[in-house]
Amino acid sequence: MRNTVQQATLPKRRSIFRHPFTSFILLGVFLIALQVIAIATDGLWPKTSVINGFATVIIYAIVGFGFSFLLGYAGLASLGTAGFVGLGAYFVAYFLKEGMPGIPYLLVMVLALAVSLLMGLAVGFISLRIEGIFLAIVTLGISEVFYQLFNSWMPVTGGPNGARINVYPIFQRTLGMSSGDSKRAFYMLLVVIMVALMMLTYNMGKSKTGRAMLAMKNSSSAAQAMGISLLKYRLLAFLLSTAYAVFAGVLFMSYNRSTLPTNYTIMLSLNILAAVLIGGSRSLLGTFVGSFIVFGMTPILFQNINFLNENAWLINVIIGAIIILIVMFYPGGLVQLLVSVKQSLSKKKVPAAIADEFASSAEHEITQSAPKMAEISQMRAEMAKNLSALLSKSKADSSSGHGQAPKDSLPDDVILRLNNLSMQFGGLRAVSELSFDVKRGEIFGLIGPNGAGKTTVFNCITQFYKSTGGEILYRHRSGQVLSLNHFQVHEIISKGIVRTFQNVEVIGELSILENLLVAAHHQYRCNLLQEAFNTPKVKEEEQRLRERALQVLEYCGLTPLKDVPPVGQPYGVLKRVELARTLMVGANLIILDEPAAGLNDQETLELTQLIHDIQRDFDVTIFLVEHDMGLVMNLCDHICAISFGKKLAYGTPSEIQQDKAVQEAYLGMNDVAEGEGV
Amino acid sequence: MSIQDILQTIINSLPMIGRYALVTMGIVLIFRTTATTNFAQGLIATFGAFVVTWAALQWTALSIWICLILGMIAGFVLGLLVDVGLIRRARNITPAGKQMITMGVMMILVNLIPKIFSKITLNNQPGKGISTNILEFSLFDIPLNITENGLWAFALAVVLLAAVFAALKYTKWGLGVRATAANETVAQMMGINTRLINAFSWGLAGALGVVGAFFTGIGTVLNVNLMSNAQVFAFLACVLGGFSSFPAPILGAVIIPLVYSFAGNPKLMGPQAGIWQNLTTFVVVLILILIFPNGLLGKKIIKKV
Repeated sequence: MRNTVQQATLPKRRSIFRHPFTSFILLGVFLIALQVIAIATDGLWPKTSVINGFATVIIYAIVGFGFSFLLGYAGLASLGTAGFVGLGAYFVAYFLKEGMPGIPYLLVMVLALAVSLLMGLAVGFISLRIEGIFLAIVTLGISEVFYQLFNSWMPVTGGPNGARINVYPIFQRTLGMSSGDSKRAFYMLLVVIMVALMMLTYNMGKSKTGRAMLAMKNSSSAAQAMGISLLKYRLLAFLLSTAYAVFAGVLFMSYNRSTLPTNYTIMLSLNILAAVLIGGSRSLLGTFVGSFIVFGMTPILFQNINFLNENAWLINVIIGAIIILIVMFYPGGLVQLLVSVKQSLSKKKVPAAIADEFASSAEHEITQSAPKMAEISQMRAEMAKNLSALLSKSKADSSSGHGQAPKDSLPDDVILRLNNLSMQFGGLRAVSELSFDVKRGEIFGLIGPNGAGKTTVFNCITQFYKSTGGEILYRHRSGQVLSLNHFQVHEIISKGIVRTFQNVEVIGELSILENLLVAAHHQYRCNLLQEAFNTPKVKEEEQRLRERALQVLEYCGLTPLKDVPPVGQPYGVLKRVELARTLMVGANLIILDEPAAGLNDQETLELTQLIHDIQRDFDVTIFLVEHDMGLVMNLCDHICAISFGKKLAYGTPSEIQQDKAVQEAYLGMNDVAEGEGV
Repeated sequence: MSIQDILQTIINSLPMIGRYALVTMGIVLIFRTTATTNFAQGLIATFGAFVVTWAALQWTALSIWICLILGMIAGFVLGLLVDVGLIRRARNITPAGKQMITMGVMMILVNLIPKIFSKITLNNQPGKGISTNILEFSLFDIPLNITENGLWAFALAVVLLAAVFAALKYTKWGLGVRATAANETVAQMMGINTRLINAFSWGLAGALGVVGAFFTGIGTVLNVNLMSNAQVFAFLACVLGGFSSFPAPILGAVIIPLVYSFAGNPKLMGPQAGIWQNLTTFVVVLILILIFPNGLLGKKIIKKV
């Protein structure tokens, strides 16, 4: 088993042909070759209309790349794309039209992008208030506002007759080339821009930013707990998508030199959505193909077929039918088709097969005896030495100024103190004036009947809820005492507190290994620009954290599953993934919400051992809520029992078992006499 | 603005309220039962309006009301077919995917309708038999007026919607729709034929839309983009009212035409009001939505962790 880790950590040598950029460049070469042939044959083949068709496909593919950040990564619905494309187009139309003083093209572009960023910010903020289909319709409304502006603001936009510019920017305007040459040159420029954007987009998607957005899409709670700011990444998704759209609008106007307001109705937004969706919402080549199907088939293929040329109405009927068929049979997009073909051809094991194998091998281990468990535990202790050395590097994260409380407000051996914590939902008091201490290095249990407010306590500590009263003090590893109420939910993890969820929250669209990398989100230091260009620093950082993730997986016995997405895995595996995630953080305090819920006896035993080992190996405090009394009594050093949000008892497991109030809460008043404890 | 102006502006918006409420009701029915934002709703309705016109031209002796019923049947069948043929088979596809399917339907209809009804030229209007006369009346001694067809549109919408709401509340079908809307899987397990419910909802949505399209078509040029504006406004009405209940979107469909009427009033918005009418309405409605992000009558649903 150790060998597999060693192999995996070696940098993979991929042949040039498998490098994703190769396909982008090949696509670019193909597109440029078309133009070159057209020039060589003097426009005989391919016809100008075909070249123009490809230009349209390229421009809308660029819009699609930006849109994939929204739909594919962040999972946000928007129908406002058309308005932003139009904004870019009309910017060029206005500033480059005849009679305007010579404003440099680049300045126009920068101006358009600046406005798009403002718009993106605005929509991004709206997206924090309005979600799902509501957001899609609101963005549709915003796009419609733009359309009305284009259509009605005669002096600026030319109204329903549209706008035009007389000369091609750059080549004709600045370099003084002829009109025809400029158009051809601009086509080449379009291809180069698209290929470059494909590379940058690919890099961003593979980076922590792409993963953070995916995490947000799959489980906003997990994302926040892993330190991902919903505000930041929603804004970013909208900023990127509007910037791409406006940029594409600028290119559209520059290449076509004329535009009509009716180009920017809801139909364009829907078409772009269709292009992204039928290609595969995160695949760049797929988006290009989707753009080809939606925007390119008419000028490139159908117009050359005489029958269709005479029956033009049929063309869009056919395209509509194709879109319906693809969505119905390949809801994941054409990429899905490609993947299934690839899998049937290659001998590589598909994720499902790996998972089956793992499950059956786990089946064997059910007969695991106590000595075997001890052996595994011993192995873990060995592994942990190396791992905790790695982790200690990330522990240095010192706390910034705000949220600090005086150092002497907590005794030295206390890591977490709840001081009269209250949480009220309307008239319902879920937690009322609850106080207890969690000591450093212990395993602490919070128990109580259903509805006692246990999870609410967790949500208050991790700031998913803002408590309505009381104080939560926490001692950072550096010794500083922090008042947690001053932090936002995504800041908690960087203070060394990490949690799991009652109904496991994992990122289904990422592999288990990548799920762990999401947990390391706050340890990444590179910015988006560095990620876009995949600088050596980004590579180094990614490699380092990947290595650590592999070791954590090995520690938790999940190595065989590292490349499998967690969807459909048994609960026992998912719970372990969540635990593994907490280990990526180098946490000081791990909060487990019902770690054993839904597990069978064997899985519970294994998990108990794992929790125990984690506490032993990593110098952490564990705070858990659990209904499985066997587990709680086995593991915990201290227990607090609550009922209806109030504290019943605090003490060691045996003290809790003897406590009358606890017995009453669990068994009812009358049964206490016969009850044999909890 | 005088009181007379205000009252007259409100009355001017009544026909539009009627038309939009019908389209909105259709969109809500479909969204709540099959979780689909139906972009084809406007075109299904337009198809029905074309059928009405075709029938009126074909059988000149036929009363326009019979033609309207024929059109409603056509809309019902078309809506039903879209559900049975496509949406039912796409149950496990994401909402965005379903949206794309309805967009595909939209692309097909937009090209097919002019082909099917190629003999109906731009000048044919479906309003045969319903006069566009202006009725004068007075309220509290204030003289007011409304067009005859506008009054019909509003009155018919009120009657139809009242019937639909009564059916939703008191009939077995209504209970089925509400159960399906709340949780389709559970509804199925409780023995409700959700397929039938969904198909009927699509059909009903189509039929209601046709009435809206029919009255929209009166007095304007009948073309395939008849309902494109109404559809966008109907979606916004759903968000403005709140998608979470059946009556809430209708509130949205009442407010938007009111805003539209006032936005187009030159006494309030200046001589250029007509040009900016659409824009002003969109802006006002968007601002309202931002103030009430969950809809005027909606509730925020918080996921528990």
